[in-house]
Amino acid sequence: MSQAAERPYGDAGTTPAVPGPEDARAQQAGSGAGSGPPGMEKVLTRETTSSRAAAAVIAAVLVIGLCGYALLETAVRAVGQPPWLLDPQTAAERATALPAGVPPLLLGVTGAVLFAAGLFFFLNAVLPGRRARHVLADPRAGVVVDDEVIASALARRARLAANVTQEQVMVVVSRRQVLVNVRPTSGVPLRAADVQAAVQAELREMALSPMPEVRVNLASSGVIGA
Amino acid sequence: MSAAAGRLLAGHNRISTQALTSVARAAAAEALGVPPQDVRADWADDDGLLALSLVTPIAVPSLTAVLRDPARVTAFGGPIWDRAVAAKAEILRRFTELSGAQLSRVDIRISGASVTEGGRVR
Repeated sequence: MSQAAERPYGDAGTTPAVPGPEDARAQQAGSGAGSGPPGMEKVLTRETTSSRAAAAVIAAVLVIGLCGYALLETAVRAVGQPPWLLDPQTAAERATALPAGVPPLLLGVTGAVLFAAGLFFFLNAVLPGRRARHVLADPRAGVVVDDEVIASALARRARLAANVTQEQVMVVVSRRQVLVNVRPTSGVPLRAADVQAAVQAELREMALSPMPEVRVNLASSGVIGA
Repeated sequence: MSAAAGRLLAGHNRISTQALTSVARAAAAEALGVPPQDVRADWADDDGLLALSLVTPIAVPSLTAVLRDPARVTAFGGPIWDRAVAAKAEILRRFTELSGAQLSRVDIRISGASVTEGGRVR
């Protein structure tokens, strides 16, 4: 488990994020060549994914502690002194005869704790750990925007396109999808296609990567006099 | 910006519920021949469209006048039921014309009769 957690950036989890921006940029501008200074990709990856440093440090400390203790016991035995806590020989014998000699409840609890810790480290290592942020294509600077900011901008645009008040629009931005919920004003029918086109135009101008898809939900009931 | 932005100017127009109610009352009063302050209008949402329910009196000729001249009923627009049915279409048309909002239904409950001697000739 430690091996997986101690791996540096740019491993299996994060690499898919790197080709994404380049693809999107090449598509929308047709000039993917000038995509900023050389270290930019790495900086952007660091900004859009969460750090694994904490988990890596915990794993390292655990492994160091375990190894240090084993070293201590081995050294004590090599010198011929009585064992500090547990003789390595006895420890190995007990481990091989494991189901015996330990209460089943304690065994179960220990197993569960070990499993939880293992799952924590494993998921930390394998999952991409993306933050709710998008990268804006820019020839010179790296621009990273929180999804809430994008949602707010899109909500404003959708509100203007639908001609409704602020409270009638709700936008949820995730990595690959933008969900626009609009509650129309009673008596003023809305067309979802109009809202969709407006939001899509705004998104195109933002040139996000990865580019999310737009989905518009019109509520069936309206708001009276809004 | 796209064509949608060119068509729309910045800003947002809203018609308050109160304004909608006033327009509906005026339209109903016009259609049924009663003063607007006697009309009560309520709104409901009907699947994204507006549903209007009205509680209103209706103008009728006095009975003595009808006894003297049975043609007065026809001059007023026929029986109350027929007039209420006709008024629905009239109110819907007038309201849509004035406010731009689309009505899906107009429910009319006649709460009384206001006797008018003069009588409107239609």
